[in-house]
Amino acid sequence: MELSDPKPLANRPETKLPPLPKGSRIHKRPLPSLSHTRRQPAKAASKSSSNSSSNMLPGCDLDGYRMPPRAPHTVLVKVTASAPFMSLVKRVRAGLDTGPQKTKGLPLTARIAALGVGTAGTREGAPAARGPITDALDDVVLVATGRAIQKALEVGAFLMRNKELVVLFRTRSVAAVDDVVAEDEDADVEDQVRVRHVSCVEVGIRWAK
Amino acid sequence: MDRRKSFPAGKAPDAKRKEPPPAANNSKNQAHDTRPNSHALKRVKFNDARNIRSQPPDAALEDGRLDLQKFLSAREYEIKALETSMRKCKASNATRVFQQVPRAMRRRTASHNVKRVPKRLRERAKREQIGDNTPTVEARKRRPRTTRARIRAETAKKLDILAARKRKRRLEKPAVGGAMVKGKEGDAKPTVQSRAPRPKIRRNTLNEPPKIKSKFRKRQLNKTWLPTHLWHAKRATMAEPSKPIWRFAIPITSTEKCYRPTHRASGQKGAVAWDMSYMSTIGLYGSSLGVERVLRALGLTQEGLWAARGQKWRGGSRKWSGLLSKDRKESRRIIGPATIIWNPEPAAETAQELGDPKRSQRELLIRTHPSCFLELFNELLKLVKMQSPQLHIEDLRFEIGSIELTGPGSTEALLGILKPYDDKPGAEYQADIFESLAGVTNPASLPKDAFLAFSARDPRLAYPPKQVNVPDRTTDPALLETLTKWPVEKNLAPFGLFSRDTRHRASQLPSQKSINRRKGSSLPGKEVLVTAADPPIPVILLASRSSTAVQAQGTWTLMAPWKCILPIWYSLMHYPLSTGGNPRLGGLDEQRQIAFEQNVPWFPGDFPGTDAGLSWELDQQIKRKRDWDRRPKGKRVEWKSLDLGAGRKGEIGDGLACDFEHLFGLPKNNISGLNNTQNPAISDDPNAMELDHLDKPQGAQASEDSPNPMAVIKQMTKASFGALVASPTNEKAPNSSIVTVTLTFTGRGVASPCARIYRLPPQKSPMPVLPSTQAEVPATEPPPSTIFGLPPSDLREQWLGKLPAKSTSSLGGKGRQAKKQTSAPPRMPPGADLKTRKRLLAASLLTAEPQFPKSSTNQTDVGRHPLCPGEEELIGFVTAGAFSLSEGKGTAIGSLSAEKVLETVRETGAREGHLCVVRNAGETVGWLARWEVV
Repeated sequence: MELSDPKPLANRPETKLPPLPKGSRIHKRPLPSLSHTRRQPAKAASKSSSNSSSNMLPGCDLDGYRMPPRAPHTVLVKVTASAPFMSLVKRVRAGLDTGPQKTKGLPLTARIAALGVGTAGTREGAPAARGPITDALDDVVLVATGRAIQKALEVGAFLMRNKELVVLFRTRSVAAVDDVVAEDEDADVEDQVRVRHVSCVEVGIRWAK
Repeated sequence: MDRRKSFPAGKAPDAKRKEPPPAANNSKNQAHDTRPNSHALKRVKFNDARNIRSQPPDAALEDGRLDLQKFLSAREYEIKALETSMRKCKASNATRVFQQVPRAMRRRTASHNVKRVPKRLRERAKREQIGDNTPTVEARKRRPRTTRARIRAETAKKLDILAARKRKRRLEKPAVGGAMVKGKEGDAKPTVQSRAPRPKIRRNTLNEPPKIKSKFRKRQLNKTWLPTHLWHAKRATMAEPSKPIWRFAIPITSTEKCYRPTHRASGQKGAVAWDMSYMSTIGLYGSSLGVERVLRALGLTQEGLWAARGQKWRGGSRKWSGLLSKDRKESRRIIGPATIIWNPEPAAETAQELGDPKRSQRELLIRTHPSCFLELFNELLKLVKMQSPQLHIEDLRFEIGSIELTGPGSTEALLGILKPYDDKPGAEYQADIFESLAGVTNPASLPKDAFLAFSARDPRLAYPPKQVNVPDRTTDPALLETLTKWPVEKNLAPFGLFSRDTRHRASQLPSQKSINRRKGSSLPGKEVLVTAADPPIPVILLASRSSTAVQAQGTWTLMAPWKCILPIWYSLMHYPLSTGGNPRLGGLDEQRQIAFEQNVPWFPGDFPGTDAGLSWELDQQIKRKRDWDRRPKGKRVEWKSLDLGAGRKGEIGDGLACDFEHLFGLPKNNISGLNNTQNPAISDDPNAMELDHLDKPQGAQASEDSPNPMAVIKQMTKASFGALVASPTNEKAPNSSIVTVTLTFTGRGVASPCARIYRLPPQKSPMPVLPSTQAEVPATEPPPSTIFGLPPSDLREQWLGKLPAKSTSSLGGKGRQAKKQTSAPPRMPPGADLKTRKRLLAASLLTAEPQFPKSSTNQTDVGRHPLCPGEEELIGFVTAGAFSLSEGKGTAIGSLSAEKVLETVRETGAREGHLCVVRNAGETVGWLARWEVV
């Protein structure tokens, strides 16, 4: 069954990057913002991007996909292809352990009340667990692109065995910036910049309520 | 589980601690008669806490049958007892204060001194020491023992009296002249306004360091303090007072004992900051044509720079970073790395004088390393005077200071402390761009050679700095657009940092006192507004990519007037990063180590072919020699008795040096011109050691007469070496030139500085030798190829066999075979079944050489490891080597003889030609590594 009106994709074949000019090569810049750990509410982001001349919606992907906001305490672990498996697992566990302590600093009565909410929450949280989780309020997020995707998925699958954890897999694309530089340093060619979109997998891990 | 706190019952670790003798207690400590009692009580408390109750398992047995319920509940009780014990142990004072300080603060020296622990633990430490009867001495109150100490104490006493007298006089004064002072303050406006004196910057000569407060002048006679010296001196190991580095008191390393957090802050989360005010800045002024000629003479000869490609650089929207060189008779000699920034021309003039490059006056800043500053300055002076119309240069060393930052949090930290001077957007275009960089986690993701120049507010107005909002901007098209288009050309105006007046104005920041007063008078939570009294601070922010690796962190360099560095530094060090913590401080060691981990050579240490690098290496040699001399004879390496195998005795060259003299056959040390005649390059370079002439005015003359023989060694750049390798004609590399390389070990091995680098020995016999001598030839009879004093003839195959299997398989069948036969019996594969195991065991028993009788030591191999190649295969030395935390194995940076390396690469091809053997000085075992020119 075909869709009657397929949504045009931004990375459709027409917008394919032109071939590299002769005698030049690509120098990749580091991927933006992957190694950052804490996110603020989207308020500031919309303000700062309001002066953007682009016709795209602020905070949106090129496919028009808006990232669900992250919790401010989310620990972001960037996965590289060469990272040892257990090291990643340990980092995730450390991130889970150092999550926000919601009752810290509260008076005793409030702490007891919070405990009560926790027990009631299992009942309240049940409907949320039934339907798919759409937010990205994870405790730890593994982010991977390219060859590292496999590793991130392996770690996610490994952690799925733990019943106390909820593991979510999300995909998105990340804009990577490439410099097109002339191979010959003496050549008098203007350097160009091009944007390439990279598939990215996010593995969100959080405590089950 | 915390092992420390869960000792088995009755096994207290402090059983060794002696109880104070009761007799002494009774006689001496009458006043403290509660102490032994409290001690005993504490004992009881510990024992109680550590005692884990348990039930014997047979309690659950009821006439031979196990009562499961009873058994389980007993175990449950035990587990609970264990947990309570752990909790109680933690609560009861089981650890001493000195065990509780953060790991980085731990120290052994003077651990009895309570002032060595953080303030929050001091009280407890005091109590503990009283409890333990630890003798404590306060150094200040100790009776002076040496003559010198006594004199010092007496002087201090005298000075104290003088200071008291002065204080008294000052108190009396206002009482007398109180009315007069009041009258002065009553004047609303002074009639004559005088400008504060600007520091003199003389043209074409070196300038004096800033005038120092008389209190600190005596300590800066032969060096200059960085603007943040007092801050650093408390937190870092500084360069020895009598031996300043590059005439500055430079922080060498943090007093914290851990490097690993710094490594993490530089790459994964956090930020590391350095006060780099010791970097030297030179201003170059004159017509654009003249400037071009001067820069071309300094080695900026790439045509792209002076054509359309370099337009942005010359226009003042990009920087240039690279190695500068100077012309010597036949060849060029590298001076050192530099960054060059052009000041954009004022907009009005651009329209008039666009077509006239002769008349347009340009200004440039050249930022370089202090170790090569003098050399560059003198070279520039010579070049500048040759031009007509003459250009001029200014020494801006103590005018412009700088801070360097690296790490994912570096951009965030800068955003937190640098606020644009004008609040409204659009006042300064580049400041707006800077503000829009929120969310960038790596300065290397900016365009290559990008920089920003704007004026910032006094950071003390917003002290303590608050965390900036870092939005999730991974998908933000606005940031992406800024990063790709980098629209700095709009409204490009001359930069404030180039203007002497702006710099001078910025140096006159209001006093901390007045800022405090303003803060006090403003409402709590309200920001202090900028007034006319707050001058704008002109800053330039350079973003640089140090490494070629894609994900490697770049560096921010913040250039600001010298006097503004301190307030910026204070704010920076207190900025709360969103990932937790503050930026860490780094010293010279950290800087070198981070460069090392990014596989980037560090100037001057890894450039022994430059004058600056040579003097660094000579300094290091002296230091190593001193350390070696200090060790007892039995514990230091005896170079002469080192057994390199196959009858070779003794270290090659000097074991404490990167002995390039030995490598190139240069005369040892200062034997002066007589022996140097075979090396004409020496006479070319009379100024090679001129570098030190600031340090030792008398010594300069002597060094010019007899230059160090190592001064003929030339550094070769990657580009020129690459051209030589690619050239079809067998062109030779220039005499005694070296290339800097990075080395990665193919398997095991960690190199240390001064390690020797060998190429693989050539194939000895034309016939393919059976590479199985090791395995099959009985050890009693020496292999036929081994001649005393020469390594075995199949050494090359032995070394190639050491290549890990993955790369060997791509080398071809022959290599793989060699590996199979020469190496030790294969390891048992993890999932092998019994049959395979048996087969493998049988095979290993059959092929393994008999254990006895053993062959004479190091005759054909070093414990089954191939011997080091001979001395004629020596190609270079390691200048920096260690275990690299980023690679997870040993890496090194070294320098190789270009001539020998070129020969090897041409003979054996790029693959095997890049293999080498690295052997630490004083060790017999070498390890296989691969080199890459950088």
